[in-house]
Formats: sequence, structure tokens, C-alpha cells
Amino acid sequence: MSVTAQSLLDPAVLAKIQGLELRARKIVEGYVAGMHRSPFHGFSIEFAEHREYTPGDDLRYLDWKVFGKTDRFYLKQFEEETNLICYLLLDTSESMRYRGPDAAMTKLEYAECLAASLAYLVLRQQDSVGLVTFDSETRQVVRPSGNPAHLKQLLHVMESTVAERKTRTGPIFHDLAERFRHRGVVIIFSDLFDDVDAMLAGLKHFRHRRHEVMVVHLLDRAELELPFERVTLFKGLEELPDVLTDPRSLRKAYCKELDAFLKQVAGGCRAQQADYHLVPTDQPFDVALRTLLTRR
Amino acid sequence: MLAFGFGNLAMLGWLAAAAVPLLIHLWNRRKHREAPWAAVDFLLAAIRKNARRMQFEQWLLLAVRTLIILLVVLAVAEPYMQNLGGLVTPYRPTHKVFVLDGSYSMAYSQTDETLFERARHTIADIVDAGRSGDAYSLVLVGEPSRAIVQTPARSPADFLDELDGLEQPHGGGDIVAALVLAEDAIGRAEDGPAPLAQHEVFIVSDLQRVSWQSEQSGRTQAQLTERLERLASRAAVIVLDVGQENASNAAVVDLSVQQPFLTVRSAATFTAVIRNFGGQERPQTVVQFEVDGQPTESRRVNLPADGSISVSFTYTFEEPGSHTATVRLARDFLTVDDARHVALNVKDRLRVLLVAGKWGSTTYIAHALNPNPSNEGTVETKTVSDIALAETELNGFDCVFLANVAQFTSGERRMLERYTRRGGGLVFFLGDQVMPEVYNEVLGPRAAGDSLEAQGDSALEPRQDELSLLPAKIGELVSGPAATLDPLDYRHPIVAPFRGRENAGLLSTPVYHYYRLQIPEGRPGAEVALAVGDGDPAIVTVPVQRGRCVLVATAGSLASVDAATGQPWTAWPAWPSFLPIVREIVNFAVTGSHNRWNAVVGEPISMPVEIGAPSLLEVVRPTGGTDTLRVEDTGDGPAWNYAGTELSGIYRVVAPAGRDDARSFAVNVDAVESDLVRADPAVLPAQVSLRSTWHEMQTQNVGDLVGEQRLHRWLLTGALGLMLTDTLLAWWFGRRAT
Repeated sequence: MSVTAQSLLDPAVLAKIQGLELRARKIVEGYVAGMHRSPFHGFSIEFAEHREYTPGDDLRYLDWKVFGKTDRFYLKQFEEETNLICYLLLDTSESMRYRGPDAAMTKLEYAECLAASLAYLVLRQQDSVGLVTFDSETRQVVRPSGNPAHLKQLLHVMESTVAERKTRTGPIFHDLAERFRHRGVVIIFSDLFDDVDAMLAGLKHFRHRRHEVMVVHLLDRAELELPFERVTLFKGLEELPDVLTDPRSLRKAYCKELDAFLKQVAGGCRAQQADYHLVPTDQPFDVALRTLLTRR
Repeated sequence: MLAFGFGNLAMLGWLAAAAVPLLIHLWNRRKHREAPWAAVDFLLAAIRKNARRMQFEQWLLLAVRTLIILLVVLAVAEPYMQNLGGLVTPYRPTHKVFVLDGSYSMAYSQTDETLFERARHTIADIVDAGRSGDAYSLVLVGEPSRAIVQTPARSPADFLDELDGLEQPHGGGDIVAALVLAEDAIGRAEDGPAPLAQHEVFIVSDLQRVSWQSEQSGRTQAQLTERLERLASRAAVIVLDVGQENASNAAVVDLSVQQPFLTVRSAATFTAVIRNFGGQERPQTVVQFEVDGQPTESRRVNLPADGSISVSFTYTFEEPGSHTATVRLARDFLTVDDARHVALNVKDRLRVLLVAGKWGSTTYIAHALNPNPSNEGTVETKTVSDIALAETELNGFDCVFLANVAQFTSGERRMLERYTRRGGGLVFFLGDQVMPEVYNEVLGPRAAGDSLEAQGDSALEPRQDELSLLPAKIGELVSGPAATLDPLDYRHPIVAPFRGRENAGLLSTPVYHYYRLQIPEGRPGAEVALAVGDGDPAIVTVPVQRGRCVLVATAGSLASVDAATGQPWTAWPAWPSFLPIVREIVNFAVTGSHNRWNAVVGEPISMPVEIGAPSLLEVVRPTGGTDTLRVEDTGDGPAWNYAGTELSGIYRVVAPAGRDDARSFAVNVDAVESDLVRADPAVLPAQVSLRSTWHEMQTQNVGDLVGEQRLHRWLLTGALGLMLTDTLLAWWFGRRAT
């Protein structure tokens, strides 16, 4: 990975680049430059034929017996292998609009960059990707498609998003679980400032529909650490009340409360066999992508 | 009433600053920053669970910070408490005795305020800082020292009124006498109807060396130290130094008339001694000579550093009567001693009374004084017998000769004593009628107060000096072959004119009989002018009060003879040396007559008046103010006495309108005070604390000296402890919160 590409993966640098498409491309280019294989693969398991290995293919599908006989690398191709369908669920509630004093992007901007990058990656390997934006309701739905031109539509939807309402993840996840006909990977980008139990119930519904679920929990560094030193009037987003307090005297208690919340979410996700990733918005994108895709 | 108060009450206004932490807290809440926040639920949950802890911490910090300010402000206000070590006891009011230096060096002024005024303001400051129940006494150091407020004043306002009305005298300063008065005031405070047991003595002075380190008026350094130590055993003694370092001064330290007596149309020579007490030469200093207040001559002189010069002026008076002459320097920072005055009585002729104890006893003396009675010489004589002495009014005479008077009565002694007190000159010639034991008893040493009216001296310790009208005790009669006279190197003014004139007959004068004169040991001022025989005194002189006495051991006439042989006691009256000797004796004796019109500050002036004269006179003081003077019968005839000579200058005693017999008196400062060199603070005993200003005294804890406990150190220590506590608490709370 070149130095230039590396630096471009820093949210602070990337925030200076206008346009989600360009941002996504830079992220992916920077990420792919250091990637050895494609992270996504299909779901079919019936073998059909071999094809010659090309760099980037998943080594899990290498046919070692053929290699033993022919001394050449071949991949096993599976019958009825369908394209991967990736559902990107983007929380566009008001709380996602938050950006801490030292952050380069809002949580929503960061989530959009990540989502766009993943969409770009998926489309590059001729898989399908769809997008749903939601807050208290489902706002926009872009059906999955593998057409490279589909990316433009995804990006357009993301860029036109307005974050100004409350979150209600539970009912929405139930609704979407019913609407996603094909099995796929459901990736949720949200700060999850909502009813945790309802949210987990929604995840359970996804799993019931045999989707793979990945939760990308986005939080600003300020939300994690409450770094303020002066008496501050915290103006509640999503119709929450304003709170005037001295954050110094409350930091430890706040962090304790937040930690309990994070543990509850992480534990709940594990219970639902969903991948859970806490991603601070000051984290470089390559690190975030690697974290998200390593397990895949 | 509690024994609690504040040294600096005004500082308590800063207690309002205790509200500052609260205001800062409110201001911080008002000036908060704003931030949008998504994770409000967690904040609310944290607040809900920690509200009580946070509130407690905030109140605790607020209380600590408020307390810090309160303690600091209280410390600055200098609180004190009596007997802090025990329980709070009832307040013990303090008796403050102020000993104010009124010597004229305190008139020094480099600014628009004299040292005396500065001292007065300092006292007023201390009184203002006093507390309810305190009492105040005031002693003025002077000559004599006086108790201005002797009975402790409970009302500060009344005390300050007395202080404000105080006029700076021009005299010296008897510190020891003032300390005695201060101790007396302490005694009064302790014995009064509401006794005060706690005392502070403030001595406010310029610490001039002449007052504090030299012997003065018989006071010694040891006496001063003893007095201070004695005072310090009963009170806290604080010397407040209001003096000026490196002060320089020039003064007219003496002004004298060369002639022993002045007559009209005779030139009078005035000699002034001007001294520069500074280390810098004063070139071209203007010296002005004034007669009767009118400038007559002015000169410029160069005053050497730390040196003196003499300047002489000559003036001829055309009119007889009372006159004054003044020598005045250009003004400097101490103006009191820049002028010196002399009052004179210019006569048409000198009047001498001759008292003859025996017929012919004064014949030769009369001839010597006025050889040609038909011509009007400068001396006019009148002869009376000793029997008529008691009825003779001496005030009209400048000198009295008493020749061969057998004895004196007590009344005559009083008469002669009064005469010398007014500056008259007495000359005793002995003779064959003299009863030496009576002379010694009646005219000899006697306590001054025995036969005199009030002296006007310090009322504290009347001096026990014994007044003798005789310069020497008259011993046995010495008879023998002719003894000759020894002029003793012509040192004495009476015989000084004979120097170089050995043929004038003095050395060959025969004396056959004379009384052996014995000068008592320690008799101040007694001098032998001429010796006889084997060195026995022939003429002894002594100053007596303002006058002078001359005692001649032998006779002044040929009328005194040896009863056995008929031989005269001495051939001196017929000898060539007799006339000049008598003239010189007169000159010497009447020199004291000038003293009659001249006094030093604090010395009363007095004068007999004729019977039938007005009983009320008026004294015009140097400042222009007037005092009424009452003529009183002193037992020796009507006379007035005026003791209010605390200022230097010319005092004029005038009769009611229509009578033109004004009389001028000159009152001068004692030049000793003109030397402004300051005392070494080491002369003060260890028990006495020295402070340069009242403020310094306040800051250096006068309370420690009087058993008061000043609390400000404790308060500051507490404030410091609270600051540390605040830091620790803030650190601890912060650590717990983060």
C-alpha cells in the first residue's frame, strides 16, 4: 500500500475529498492495494467445475487434490452458484448527524463512505448490492443489482439523505427481514441509539431468514469518551431533552453507562450470531474495512 | 463585651469577595458551551445515579473556596483577641500614654508638615484605631515637661481636641521628666474609679541625640535608661521615630552685647555666633541685624561646614529705654533658631547704690565710680546706710555695693535674692564690722524654695540646689604684714585690663587684713579673680540667678582699721589700682543686668512695678497674640510674673492705653537643640521597641507587646491549608469522575 493511498484512508483526509463516489473509490483502491483475496463469495455448495486460480481468489476453494496431481492451482466452481447479495442498511436518523469536536466526519458521512466502499467492492466482483436508508421508517430502498452502473444510484441515494428523525430499528428490521426475498449479507450501519432489545429482535428476524448479519456500530470518539472540560449544555438530538452539566464530574459515570450499553449490544449480536463491529469514526477506513471483512 | 476586634476594620469590606466563588460558579453555568448530543440517555442515566455525589462535591468545593477568601480577608483585617490561650475573657481596655516630643527640633520641616505635626497626626491615627473603653493620656516633652492630659481621658474626641490645641513650644526636651509623668499617668489610671491594668506608652520623638544621649538638665543617660526600663516593666513601651535622617541646620547660637551696660549716644557692639550644624558649607548666607524690629544692616557670610563664625554689628542708641536687637539668618528647614534676640535697657546713666555699714565705708568706692560728682558721668551713685537698706527700693539700681555691712536680716536676704533674680549685681566689700558667721548663715547656702515664691520650675522634682548669695564662705580673719595681690595670670575679666600694665599698682597693693574665703566644693560658676597672700582668694565672683555677686575679702575703704593698732585693713582704696578695679567690678556685676530682660524658652519673666501702678497689664506674644498679666503682691512689693514663655521671640509687656512704658523681653531658644544629629537606637533598652512609623508598628504586631493575640497568622495558615485541601479535593473528585 502506497503512502499516498494510506493517507487517503484517513477520515480527516478523505473528508476533504468531495463526492461520495470518489471517496469510495479511493478507499477501495487503497484497501485493495493491500488485499490478497476477495472477501465475498457465493452461497452455493454443489461442485460444478474447476477454473484456474487467479490472484485474489479465496484460497478456501483451492482444490488441493488437483494441485497434488497436476501441480497447478484450480479452484472449485460450484453449481448454481449465485451472486452474493449484499444489503446495506444505513441509519439516517438525526443522531447519525453528530460530529464530535475532533472528528472529521459525521457518523452518517463515515457510514456512507464505508457503505459506498463496500458497494464498490461487491460490484467489482460482479455481485449484487442493495441499499436501504431508514430512521423511524424505511426511507429509501434501492433493490440489489450487480450492474456496475448501479453504484451511481446507490451513491445518489446516500448523498441525498437527510438525517432529521428518530430511530426505530426494531420494527424496520422486522419489515426488511420480510422484504428481503433472497438470502444475502445484511450490513447495518448505525449508532444503535435505540431500544436495544427491539433492535436485537430485528436481528433475530434477519437470522431467521438465514441472512448473514453484520452490525457496524458507528460512534464518534466524543461519544465514547465525553472529552469536554467546561460546563456544557448538551442539546439532545432525536427529540431528547437538553442536559446542562459539568462533563468532567460525570465522565466516569457516563463511560460506565455507555460501556454497559456497548456490552449489551455486542452480547446481543453474538447471541444472534451476527458480526458486531464497533467502529469509531476517527478510525482509518482501511482498518475499518479490514476489521469488517477479515471474518469473511 | 468580648476581647475581639480588628486592627484594620476597613478591610472587612472585602468580605463581599466571599461571594466570588459562587458568582464564578453561576457565571460558568451561564457562560456554558453548547453541543448537540446524541447519547443523552447515557448522560441522563449517569446524572441520575450521581446527582447527590456531584452536588455534594460541588458544595464542598464551593464552601472551601468561599472559606479561603473569608480567611484571607479576615487576616488582612488583622483581628486580635485578648488571652487567646484561654477562654475568651472580658475585654480589658488599654490605657495609652502618649509622650510627645515638644523640643524645638521637632519644628524641623522639609515639607509642609513639621515633625511635631507629623507626630500629632501619628498620635491621632493611633487614637482613631483605638477601641471602645480605651483611655488616653498625653505628656508633652519640654522644658519643663508637662502632663497635658494627666487623668486618662475616656473620650477620644476630647483627647483629640486637647491634642489639636497643642502649640509646639520652642524649648528643649526633658525626656526623663516626661517619663516620670507618663508613669504618674499610669498610676492614676490604675488607681482611678475605673482602673485600667493594661498600658501602652508611645513615645513620639525625632530621637535627637541631645535629648536622648547627652546629659541635660542634670539628667544622665543612666537615668533615662532606668526610667525606660521601669516604664517597660509596667507597660508596653514603643518609641515611634518621626525624625528626619541627615537633617542639616544653621542657627544663631549666641547674641551678646559687648558693653556691660548701655547708655545713650554710646556705641553698642553686638556679637552674634552663627553655627552651621551641617556637613556642607553654606556660602553667602545672609545675616541681618535688626534694632527694635527694623532692619539696620545686612551681611553675607560663608558658614563653614560643622563650624561657627562670629559676626559683629555696632549701633548707637539715641533714646533711653527698652530696646531690642535681633540677628536673623536666611530661613532654613528649622526656622525657630534662625533668629536670636536681645532685649536691652538703654540708660541715660548707670545707677549704683552704695550701702555703707560704717560711716566712710563707701567714700572711696563712690569716688572711684564717679570721681567728679559735679559732672554728669556715666555712673550715678547713691549712698545709704545699712540701716536704710531694708527700706530702699533696689529695682532702680543696676548695681549695689555693700561695704562693711555688719550683718543682714532674713528680710534683707530675700530682698537681695529677689534683686539678683531680676539681674542685679551685688558687690560685697568686707571690713572690720563684718560678722562672718552671720554672713555665712544668712547669705550662705539655702534651699531656693525656702524663701522664694514659686520658681516656675518643673513641679515634678523641685531641684534642691542651694542658693547662696555669697560666692564663698567667709573664714577666719587673716592679719599680718602687708600681703600683695596676685592677678592669677589676669584670666578673670575684672583684672584682665591690668594685663601688660604691671605698673598700674595692682601687684603692689598692700593688704594687711582680710578674711580667708573658702569656695565650697562644687559651687558652680565661682571664680577667683584675684588672690592675696599665700593664694587666698581676694576677689571671688559667682553668677547668682540672673545677676552676679562679687565678694572682696578685704575692705573698700580706709575706715576699717585694726582695733589694736589703728592701722587700716588695706591701703588699696588709696592705691592707683583701686579705681580701675572698682570700675571693672561694676562692669562685671552689671553684666547680669541684661539678663533681666532676656530669658530662655520656658523661663518665666518677671518685673516689680511701682506701687500704684495699674494692676492689669498685657503681654504681646511673639505670635502677636496677647495675654493678660496681673500684678500681684509677692510680699516684696507688687510685681508681675509671666511663665508663658514657651515660644522664642520678643515679648512686650504693655500698660493700659495712655501709659507709654512698654517693656520688651527677649526669649531665645537653647541652642543645644539646634544640633539635629540623631541618637543611636542602641541607647534604647531591649524592652523598648522602636518603630519608624505607626503603620510599621501596626504591621509588626504591637499586640504581641501587650499580650494581645493577633490571629491573622492563624487565619493565613488556615487559608493555606484550605488551598491545599481544595487542590486535593479537586484532584480527588476529578480522579473519581474520570
